Parts: sequence; structure tokens; C-alpha cells
Amino acid sequence: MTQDLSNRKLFAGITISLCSALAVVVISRAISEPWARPGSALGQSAAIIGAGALLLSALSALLKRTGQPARQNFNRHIWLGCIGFALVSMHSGGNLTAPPALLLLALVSLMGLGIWARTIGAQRMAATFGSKSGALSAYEPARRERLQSLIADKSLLLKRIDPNANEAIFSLTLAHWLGSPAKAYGYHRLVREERVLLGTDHSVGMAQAYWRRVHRLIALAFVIGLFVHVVLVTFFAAYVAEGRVIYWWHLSAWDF
Amino acid sequence: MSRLALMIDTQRCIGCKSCEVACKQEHGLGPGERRNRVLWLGANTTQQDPDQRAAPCPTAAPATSVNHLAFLTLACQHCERPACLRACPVAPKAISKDPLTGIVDIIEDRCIGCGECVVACPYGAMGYDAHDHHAVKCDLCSARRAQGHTTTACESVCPGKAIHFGERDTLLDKARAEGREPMDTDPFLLGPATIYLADAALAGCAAAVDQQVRFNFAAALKPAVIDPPTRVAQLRPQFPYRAARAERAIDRVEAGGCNICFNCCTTKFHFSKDRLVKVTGNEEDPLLGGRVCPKSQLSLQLYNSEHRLTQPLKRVGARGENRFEPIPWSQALDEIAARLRTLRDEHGSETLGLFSGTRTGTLTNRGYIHMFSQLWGTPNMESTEPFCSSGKNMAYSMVQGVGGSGNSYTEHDLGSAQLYVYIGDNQAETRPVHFGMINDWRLRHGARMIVVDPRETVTASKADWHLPIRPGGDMALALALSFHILDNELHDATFCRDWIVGFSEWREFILQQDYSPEWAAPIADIAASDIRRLAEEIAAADGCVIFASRGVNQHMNSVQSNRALMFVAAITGNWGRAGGAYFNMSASLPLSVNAPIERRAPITKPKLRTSPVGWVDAMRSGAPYPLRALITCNNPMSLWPDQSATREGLAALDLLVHIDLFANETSAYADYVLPAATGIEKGEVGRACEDRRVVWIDKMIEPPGEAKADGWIWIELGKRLGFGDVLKDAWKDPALFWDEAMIDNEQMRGCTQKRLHSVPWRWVRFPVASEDAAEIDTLYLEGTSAHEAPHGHRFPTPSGKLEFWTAQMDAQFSVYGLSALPQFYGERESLHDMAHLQLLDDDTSETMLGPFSRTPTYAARARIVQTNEATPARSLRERGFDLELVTGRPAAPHFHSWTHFAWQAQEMWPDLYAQLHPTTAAALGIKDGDLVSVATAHGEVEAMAWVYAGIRERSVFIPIGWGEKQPFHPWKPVNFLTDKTQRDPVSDQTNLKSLLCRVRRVQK
Repeated sequence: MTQDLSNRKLFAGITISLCSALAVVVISRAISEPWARPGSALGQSAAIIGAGALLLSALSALLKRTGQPARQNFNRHIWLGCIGFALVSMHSGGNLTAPPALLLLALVSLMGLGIWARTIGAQRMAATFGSKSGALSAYEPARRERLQSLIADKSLLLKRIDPNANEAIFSLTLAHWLGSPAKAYGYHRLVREERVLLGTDHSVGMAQAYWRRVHRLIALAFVIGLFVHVVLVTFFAAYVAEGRVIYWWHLSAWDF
Repeated sequence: MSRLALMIDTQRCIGCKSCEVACKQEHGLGPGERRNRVLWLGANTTQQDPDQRAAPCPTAAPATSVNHLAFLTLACQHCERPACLRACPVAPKAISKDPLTGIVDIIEDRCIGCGECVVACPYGAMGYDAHDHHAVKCDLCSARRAQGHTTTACESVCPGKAIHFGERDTLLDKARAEGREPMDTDPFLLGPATIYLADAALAGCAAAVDQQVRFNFAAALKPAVIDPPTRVAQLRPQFPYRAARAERAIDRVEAGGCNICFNCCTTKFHFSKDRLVKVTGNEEDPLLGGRVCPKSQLSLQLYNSEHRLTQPLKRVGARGENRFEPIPWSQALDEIAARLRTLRDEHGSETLGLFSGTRTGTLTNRGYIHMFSQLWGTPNMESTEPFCSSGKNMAYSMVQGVGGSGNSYTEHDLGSAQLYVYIGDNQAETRPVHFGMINDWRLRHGARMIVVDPRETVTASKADWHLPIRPGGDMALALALSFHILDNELHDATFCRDWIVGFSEWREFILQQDYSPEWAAPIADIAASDIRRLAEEIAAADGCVIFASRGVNQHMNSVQSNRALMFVAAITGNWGRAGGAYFNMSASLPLSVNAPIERRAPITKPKLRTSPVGWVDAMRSGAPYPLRALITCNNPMSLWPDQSATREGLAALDLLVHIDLFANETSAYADYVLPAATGIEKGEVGRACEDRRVVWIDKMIEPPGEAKADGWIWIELGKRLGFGDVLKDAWKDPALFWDEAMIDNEQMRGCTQKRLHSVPWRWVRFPVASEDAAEIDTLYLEGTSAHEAPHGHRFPTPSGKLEFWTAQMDAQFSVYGLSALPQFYGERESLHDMAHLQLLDDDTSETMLGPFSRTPTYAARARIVQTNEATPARSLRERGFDLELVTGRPAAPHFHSWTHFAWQAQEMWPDLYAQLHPTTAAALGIKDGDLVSVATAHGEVEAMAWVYAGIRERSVFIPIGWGEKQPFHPWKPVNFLTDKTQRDPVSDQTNLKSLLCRVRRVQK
């Protein structure tokens, strides 16, 4: 059985990662050696490995939906994220004013949110027991009728998505999204509506309800930003250089 | 197997949280981790008129009132459509649902701790382990049941029989067969398996049942002082909590009892490689059947506490500074003995005071210390009795000849009553298991329950009728009840004629005094019509048990209030019969331990006062003679009344020795602190003082570090003072001491180790004259003779009858300035001007000796001050003390100081609180959870406000037990507000129930 990643280990990993990043930023700013620049061979190598680690980190998070060992992948998600952050920070060369620094900001946000979730968020999750009132104090016949019809709709649609599945315990997986995205989306909408009727997101604090969605959104933004950054520096080197010398490896120097 | 479920009976749940403790023990859960929780909520139903309540459908009950307590035992609902499972993002799911049993379970090593299930569960019944980051939930004790248990941990302990586990259909059939209706708790169509049963009184009443469904979660009805999550982070659990199940694998189980409170519920102690891993009830006990309150189970956290004292300490700093150095036992005892000898040479042997309490244990209180005091030669030995129960003990002795009720907790005795009247007795919170039995019998037999209490306590919340009496109004109520019964010839004339001495004097007196319901109404603040109705119900019931406790005892009229209530029971024939009794708990064990007469040291001075707080002036001023040394167990510096004076007194001593389990306020002032053992670390006898059961607890484990059994300490100290020939080494074995020294009398002789160990539940109900004598359920039945009494003497009084009045008794009362026939007087500090008592002597005086004391004891004379004279209350009210303070026991998981060292009790009830009525709170600008200051003329404390509609509008309630040196959540103890000079002259019992106070919000 894979051990839970303790808060101590999490803090250790993140501290090492942040310290490494900080040291690189300070050193890079203090010296003006060509190898310390973001586009140097060293910088680009760090970027490639770092970006790879971060993408693998994201992938590890997704793997929990595919039958892979969830806890093991969660731990990988953390460690790869820490490594990736340190390397990408090294690649930045301490240049925090250029637009790519937004990617670093996204990474810092992801780490901050992750730490919150494992510490304060975890305490709030624990304190949630017995704090909800919806099911035992509310009684609205109209809502019950709506739920009845919603469950019927879900069951009907589910027969088309997965004829053997039982609505009572079914939830969409990556395979459903990839196999029949339209039906999956339709089902997802019904799930969301049920969630609204149950008052799920309002049954806890906003941070507790939305932290995972925000985390995923930032991660998605980061991945898109990373893609844009790679495309720009590789194909639109002249645009990136803004008249300066293009010293980094690139395939073309197009400009807008 | 069909679908499994829990069935929760809301009518039986008393919010004691025993199920929570059982769950954490069973599953090794730490702070903040929950599989279940008992929520304290308000309810939409309101206090009902007795007529309405008796009706099948109390639709007339207004739905707007919120002054009821309700409890919601919450655990996973094991839904048919579990929202948690569907929200789990992991594949395969980290949550499973068994298709046969319907159990929804967490697969912990798959869980990544994202919390989606916690957010998704609309019942809020998904727990979370913030330490190891995974969801936690009830699985209906699958692992436990796999080990052969037939039920869940929560059901096995539930004192109220409120939790039932089994196949859902069977549970439903059973409930419906009893006419019970399950609530509809499925507004979201999730198909919860858990069944909640509504109040049976509401059966068939759709509107009312619907109301019950709506547990009221409004913020104002969820007290901030209960389970505040912000307090959890400060708690640190010890083994076996948070340990894997394999580490807690049980290889030995021994039967014994809980030694925390005075009721000694039978328990089983579970060991894993000689380490205690679990404390449960003893399911083999034919009476308790495994039911235990949270305290018994929390003793696990005391045995394994990191806060235990483990070596003798000698003070090196100033008193109160809490600076000590560890020393060996031999040095500690040698030095104490030497200093005692010096003090004896200077002041005489009476200069030593000895104080012990419930923690110390009966073997020590009644055995070792008692012998020590005789060998040393001091009359100043006392336990907590004058703070708790001396008033009723004396009253019982006067009326019945001996202390304690002759009735017992059996279905055909106490269980057969038609009416239960609780007066100043919150049994549901203070003795939950026994209340659970009464409530169960009452519900099954259709008996009624009436509670008279200034607060809507948990007991009151279960009653058919609650009468919120003014604090201190009990005696007036009792007198008026008698008046109405006698005035209307409702009494049991045959019983009164045959079995009461002084009945005619009583009748004449009470009618002459005109103690009518109209007279009592403004004093008790209960309508005269309600008093009449109560009297008529008592008189009409074929078996009425009047329960009373500290609410009646802790007053300046303690003895007389108790006697007046006893008279009510007696004149209605509720004495010496099954199902009829005056039941003010604590059946003192008739133990007889004495040093040989020739070895007893001469005592030349009377006992200073019955109450230890009456010794304080002798410590401070040396009058009437100096008390310079005190060997004390427990925690006087939190629990003695009038802490300012108490601390001044203890600080003035030449020698203060403190024997205890934990360092507390008293040890901070001590010259020597001696680490004691407890319960299964030393071997002990438990007294089930709710009954007449004697429970034996074997020594099962070694105490921590160098801690020693109390008996060992007293014997070793005795040897150094030359008492070794009497307090012999062999008696360090508690079982031998019990058999050889403690039970040599007609009532206890059969209660030997052999007999106690002959039953798996380890108890015997006395009196048993020999090992093979049968136990007696109900004493003093007509046609029987009392133990050790002449033939035909039904009661153990000199006359063989209940004694209300005799010439001798009257002469004895007159020494105090009182009469044997209870003449009314109330409390000095009250919002209603009433006759009260003025003590003519203070604690330094040596004017008189108490005529009822067994040993010569100084006492005070008194006079009843009528309302036309100037009263202290008036001047206090003018100074702004315009609220009535009531102190008392907190909720079930706490008992005095020592449960404050159990982390889980702190998780449930961490902070000292002051219950305030919403109207009063609003007028003072106080909100629930605010920090408030409460002051009396005697001192001031701070507490958290609990705004509660169930308390009288002008009353404030603060519980006992908190102290400033407690490790988790220290608070100044409530006894800074109490007054040592307000004592019953007869019993020396302190008024702790009616003090004028003022409250203000403290700016944070």
C-alpha cells in the first residue's frame, strides 16, 4: 500500500523546490554569464526537462481516472511538480518581468493551492462532518419531483453511454469522455444540475467547494501557456526577440 | 443478507456522545477524524402542556418555540444512490458499495484525499483524516463484525438504547410493531439506509412527525461551545489512537469497572501485548448489558496519557510557581514523615487535615486513609461528601435510619414505576447509563416523566413535562406538595398510620404554616396550579420515584429540603415498595474499617468543620485551632467552593502534600507531589451508588513510571510514623485488604473476592450477610425486617418506622436554631426575597458541636431571617448582581478535573461555558460563542457564552471542573464565584446553586 504523502514531506519538497528556484533567480541576476540566460543550452535543457516533468505531473493527476494506482500517482504528481517548478524557474534566469513569468506565477498558484488543500483545506474537510443541514432539515416537494425526473433522464442517457451501468453508483470516466464526448457532456450537465439541486457547492465554504476546479483551471491555463510559449520561441523567435539577438535554439524566426 | 442499517431512536438519544468515543476507540481515530457525531441542536417542537403531551397528537403545540434540545446522531446513511461514491474522481473508485449489505465503504489506499466526497454528501456524514489525507466513514464496523461481534461499537455502548444495528427491513418491522414511525430523511432521493425514529408521542400525527424531521440547524441552535473544530488542532492523541488495527489486535480481555465517577459501570479492558488498547462495557453484565457512558471509555486516554505524574516531586520554587525537582520515593516519604512529626509536636496531631475524593477510590477513602487518621490522631479527615451529598445522607439517616434508597435498578423495582419525578437531578448527563435504563422502562411501560429544574437539561428534554423552577425553590415546592396532598387527603393513610413516626405532627405543622401552592408559587416561580397538579400526579401514581440530587443537596437548606421531599414520597406510600422511592443517589457502602482501639491515637479536639472548606480559616488564622498540614488527593484548588479563600488557606500551610494522577492547580502549591495510580493500575472497589452494587476492579497493568497505588503510599507513610503493625505491607494487595479489613459486618460479609469473581460482571448487590446469601432487589418491603434491626423493624430507625419527628430529633435541631419539622428558608442570594438563613457563628468559632455528627465536630448556630428584614440579596441586586448563578456538572464526557486530561473530552467540550437565556444575552449584547465575564460578590471568572433558550431567563449556568493548569483548554474554575460561608448548618453542605451574579461581554 502506497503511503500517504505527509505534510512534512510535502513541505520539504516544496521548500527545496522554492529554495532552488530562488537561488537560481538570485544567482542568475547576480551574474551575467551567457549560460545563465533562459535561452542558453543549459536554460533550454532545464526548460525541456522541467516542462516534461510538469506535464507528467499533470498526467499523473489524470491517471487516477484510468485505473492506475491513485495514491502513487498523486505522490508522483507532487514530486514531479516540485522538480518541474525548480527547473522551469532555473530556465527563467530570474527574469520575472517578461510575459513568460506568468507561467511561473501559475505554477506558484498551483503549489499554493495544493498546499492549502493539504493543510487548511484538509482541516476544513474534517470539520465538515455534521456541519451540513440540507438533507435533514429541508423538505421541498417540488425539488423532489425535479430530482425524480432528473434521475429518470440520467438513467435513460446512461443506457446509451454504458448499458450495464447503474445510475446509483455511476460517474463518467476519461474513457466515456473520449469514447462519446457528446453523450458524456449531456450526462455531465445532468450531474451538474443534480449537484445544484442538492446544494452541494453551497454546503461548504467556497474555497472547499471550488479549490479543485480552480486548481485544474490554472493547470489548464499553464499547459496552454506553455504550449504558446514553446511555439513562440521555436517558430516566432524574431517576435520574441523584439529586435535583440536571437541566441536560443529555434526553427524559424517569424514575426507578426 | 439484506441491507444493513442503523436505526436511531431520537426519543432515547441523550446526546452523551458515548457512541463517538466507542467509534474512535474501535477504529483508532484521532482528533478531528469522525465516523459518527452526535449533534446538539434545537428543535422545532416546544414545551408542551401536560394535557397536550398526553394526547396522541399534540397539534396544538406551537411550532415557533425553539427552547428544546434535540440530538442528531449522525453517521453515514449508506445511501442507495451514494452521492459520495459518484463524486469520487478516482477509477476504480476509492468508495465502494456492497451490493448485498448496501454498506458504502472507503478504500483508503485508493483515496487521494481530494475531499470531493466530503463536499458531495448532503448529510455531512463523510469524515476526513486531515493527518493522512483520506476520507473516513462509517462502514457499520465491518472489521469488528468480521472478528465475531454481532453489532457495531456505537450500538454496543449506547446508554440510552438509542442505536440499533441490523437488517434494515427487520429494524423497520420492529419499529412499526412498536408503533414507531421512521422519519422521512430523504429529500434528495438518495435512499438513505439509516432510520431515524420520531418521538413516539407524536406517532400518527403527520404534521408533528414532519416537524421532527426538520432537525433545526439554525446557527443560534448549534451552540458554539460544542465540538468547535478550531480547538481540535491543539489535541495530541496517544496510543492506541491513530494506530493501525494490527497494532491494536486484542489478545486479552479482563472484566472490571470504571472508576471515574461514583457509579462504576462495569467494563471490559482489552489488551494487546499487555498494552491497554480499548475500554468497553461488559456485555455479560445482566443489568447494564455493555452500556457505558463516554467517561468509562475515555479512561483509556487517562491510562495512556502523556500528562501523568510519574515520579515524586519536591517544590523548589514559591508556592504556585510550579517549580519542582524529582526525588526518590524514600526521600519524599521520609521528609513528609519528619515534617509531620515536627508539626504534631508543635500543634498537636489534629493539625493535620486529610482530604480525598472520588478519584482517590473507596478502598483509600474508607480504608487506608481512615485507618491512618485513627493511628495518627486527627478528626480532620473528609472526602467530597460535604460538597455533594452530606445533606441528603443526613436526611436519610434521620428519616430512614441509614443512608441511601433501598430500591434497585431492576425492571420490577425502579422499572415498574408509573411516574418518575426528577427534582434537581440531571441524571441523563451525570449518570447516562442509569438514565438510559429508566427512560427505556418508562417508554416501554408508558410511564410519565416530570422534571423540575431551572434549566431544560438533557433529562428535562426527554420529559413529558418540565417545570423550570427558580434556583433554590425546591424546599418551598416540597412543602407545598405535602400541603396539597395532606389538605386534600390524597396521602396513603394506612402507610402514614403504620409506618411513620411524627406524621400527625407533620400534618398539623404544614397545615398550620399554610405552606400552600399559592404560598410556594412566587418562591419556586411555578404556578400554583402546576404545583397542585404535580402533587396530584404523585399521589395518584401507583409507584412514583422521586429522583433528587445535587440540585436539592447543594443548598443551605440541604437537609431540610431533602427531608421535605422524603416526606412527600413517604406520605404517598412511595417508600419500601417496588417502583416507589425517594431516590437521592449514593448508597454509601456500609464498610467497617478501624484500627484497633488500643492503637488509635487520642484525639483531644473536635473536628474543625464537616466541610473541608470550613478548615480554611484554621489554615489562615489558626482559629479555633491551627491546621498546618494537609495531605490531599484530587484538586481542592479547583473544586472547593470559594477559591480565593481556599487558595489563601492552602498557601498558608506549613506542609501541603498532593497525591494525584496529574499536575493540577493544587500540585502547583504543594510541597510534595506524589504520583498516584488509578483503577486497573492499582486494584479498586467501585461503588455503584445509584444502586447498591459493589464492583470489583482487579489490578491489570503497572502504573506509569514510579507512580504508586494510593494504598501503597499510605502504608509506606504509615510505616515511617510507626503504624506498620496495623497498616501492614500485606495490605498493599487491595484484594487482601478488602477481604481482611473492610467487609467485616452483617451487610458486607458475603461480598468477598471469591463472590465478586464468581460472576463475569464482577458485582454483588449488598446487603449479603454471607457468600451464599441471595441479593435483595427491594429493601424495607412490608413484612420484612431491616438488616441488623430487631425483628419487625421494617426500617433501620430506632422505632423501626420512618421518622419525621421525634422529641429527641427536635432537641437536636433546636441546637442549630431550627426545628425538626422543616420550616421554610431559602437562599441568601436570590432574585426573589425569601426567608433565608443567617449563620451566627463563623468557622473560627467553637461555640457548639453539631448534635448529629458521629464524631465531635464544630458547627454553627443559625436563625431564619424573614423577608421583612434587610436581606443581603437586596443590596447585591442594587449593586448590579441581577442574575441567578447555578453551578453544576457539565455534559456526560466530563467529570470534575480529570477528564480534562482526556483529549477527546476536550474535542467535544473544550471550553468553560456560561449558559445564558437569549433575552438576557441580547440585552447584554452577547452572542453565542462570545467571551463573557461572570462576577459574583465573591469573585469573577471568564467563560464562553452559550446562548440557550432552555434556561430560565434570569439564570446563568456554569459547570464545574475546569482549571487554569489543565493542558488543553485552561480556564479559571467556577468556584471563584462561590461562597464558603453559605453552608447548611446541619450538614455543612455549601450552597452552589443560587448566587447572584452579573455578566458582561469581554472585548476580545
